[in-house]
Amino acid sequence: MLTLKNISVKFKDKVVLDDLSFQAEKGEIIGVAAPNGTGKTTLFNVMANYLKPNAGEVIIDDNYTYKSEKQEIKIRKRLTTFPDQDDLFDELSGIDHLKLYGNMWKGTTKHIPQIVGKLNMGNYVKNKVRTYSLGMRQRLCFAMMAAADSSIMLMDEVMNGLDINNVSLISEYLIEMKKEQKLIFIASHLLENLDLYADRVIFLSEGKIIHEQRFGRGNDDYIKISLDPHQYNRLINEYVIPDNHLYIASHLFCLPLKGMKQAEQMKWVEQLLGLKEKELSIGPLGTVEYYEKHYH
Amino acid sequence: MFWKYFLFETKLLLHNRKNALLGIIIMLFFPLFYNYYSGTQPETLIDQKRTEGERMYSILNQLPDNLEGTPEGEEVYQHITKQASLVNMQVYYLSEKGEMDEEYIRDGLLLNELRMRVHELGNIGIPENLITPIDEILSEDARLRYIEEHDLTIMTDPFASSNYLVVAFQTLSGILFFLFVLLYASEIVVYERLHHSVMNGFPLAFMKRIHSKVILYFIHLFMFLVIGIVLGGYFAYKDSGSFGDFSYPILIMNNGEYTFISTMTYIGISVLMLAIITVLVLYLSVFMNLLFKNAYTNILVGLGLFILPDILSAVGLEISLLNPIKYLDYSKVLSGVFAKDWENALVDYGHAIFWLFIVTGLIISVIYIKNKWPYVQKKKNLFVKRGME
Repeated sequence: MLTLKNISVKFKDKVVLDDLSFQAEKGEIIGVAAPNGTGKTTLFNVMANYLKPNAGEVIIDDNYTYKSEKQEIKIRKRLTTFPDQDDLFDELSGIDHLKLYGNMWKGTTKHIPQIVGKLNMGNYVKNKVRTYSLGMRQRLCFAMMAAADSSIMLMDEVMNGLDINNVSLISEYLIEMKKEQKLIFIASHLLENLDLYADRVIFLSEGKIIHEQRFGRGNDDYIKISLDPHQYNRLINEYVIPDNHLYIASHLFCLPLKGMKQAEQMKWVEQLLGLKEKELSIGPLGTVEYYEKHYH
Repeated sequence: MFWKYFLFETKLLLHNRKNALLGIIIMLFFPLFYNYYSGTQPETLIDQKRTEGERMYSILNQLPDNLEGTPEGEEVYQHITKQASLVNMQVYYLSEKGEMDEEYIRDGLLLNELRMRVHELGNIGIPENLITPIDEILSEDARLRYIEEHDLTIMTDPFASSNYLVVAFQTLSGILFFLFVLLYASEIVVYERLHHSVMNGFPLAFMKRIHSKVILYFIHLFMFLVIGIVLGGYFAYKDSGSFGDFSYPILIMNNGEYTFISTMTYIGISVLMLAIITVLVLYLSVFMNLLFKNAYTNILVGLGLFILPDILSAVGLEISLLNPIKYLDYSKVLSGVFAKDWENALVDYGHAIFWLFIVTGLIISVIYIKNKWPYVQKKKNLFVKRGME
């Protein structure tokens, strides 16, 4: 549905995206994780053609590229980008914004009351945007994407400024969108939240995808426990620890269970539980752990 | 899609306080200018005739003593004497306020006939600065014949609606209206930069968006302008007590000669010229917005363009290609000032409209190419890359 082919972006001498290739299919939510300044927004801008790459091309539905305006419009009919809340029109109401996006992409506004209801915006959506709080604005931006209802959605920092209830509300909505076969890219600093709905998370560094984490496809389980460096040093001095263990960001010790017999697994659990006051968990590595592994 | 985008832009424009304020200003121009104009003392026809009478006496006083020595000199003297008498009679007819218009026209036609005869005789003995130019005689002749033919009154109230509106359009013509539209459209595209993530990705062709903006801004501005014209006319009527005569002749340059058109036609042509100029300046603003991405630069560069022909002319560079810029001052096109200055009889309103259309078309083409250029470059790069592979 969306293919990135050998995309390179350079700003003077700084390589932001380096020969990056990637493919995404409909019905997927793809998280993009990376620290600030590592190319997340650039990647989104290239996908939306707000930024022309130095090399490479974006292909949508195996057919369309940004090589002509005619083709670009065909892509635009299929693709929306998450508006920045500072770019909203203060003097217009939320419903004006929703109607704009509904009309421009779907050619109708009939579905808007339903979106307003689902996102609990009924009590403020008719007021002017200038009266909105940050959270209200962010919900409106998300609602605009929902109103457009395009098959591909690029959402940069979708959860910014939202409280827990609204993060949960939008997470549920995203899962619904996925069921409707939308392809959604999400860049978010709420990494744990990505684990809830993302099918995969890509990690960017030095212009390349350095890791792709897929969820629900037989990921390896780990025993995970938080250790300070002193405790970690004591542990490796006292025990023979498998070489494939991880000590992420100098605080999370992860021991792979793969290849371990049950008795050995139990032994490790007991030994690590001996480190009192530390919470131990068993499961695959999440986005947070990978993030810390790659960037700390 | 276009229509829905147009409606959204309409909503934005209706919320735009700057444009609403400018709209009100153009609307109030006509009534406010009347307020100023009614305080002035424009030269009436009777004033003109009195001045003309004084000029005739001056000619008589300066004629050489031996003029009557030749048959031609004698004839010139007789004609000048007769002319002075006719002018004085015209002053008298005018003082009768419409009661003796027929006599005024009869004497006026005779006066012109005598003046032409004096020209044929070589204006013997008449000081150069007191000779009535032929084109002035012909235009006055045409004016009188027009009035006679259409059975119009000679004397008109300069403050009546019809006369006032002509003066108002002549005042608005040129830099005043040009600057106004520049200000009005200074953010026609550039405002989108403040809302780029909302506006950027619409599935609508770039040129359609541009045309929709121009159409919308044009309708919005002209709505205020038309209300202003009506208000100005009404104000003049209320104050002077007369709508005047919209069929009264106004001299314009057309097809290489001076002709008369009715006041209503003059107003119609003025409105048409303002409409064409508005469209041109709106597209020019779009282009400058795309190029400079700044509202102030839009105004400054626009003004620079307007005065460019005068600046170049001041340093001795006459570039006729820049003449269409001067056509923005359409009242000088209509009055024949440019035709006379450039010694080009072709310069009339039809000629100006043609060139203003050409310039607008050029600006639209440049905007189109500017938008298409990145795609062309991309294709070129792709072609080069594939060639290398």
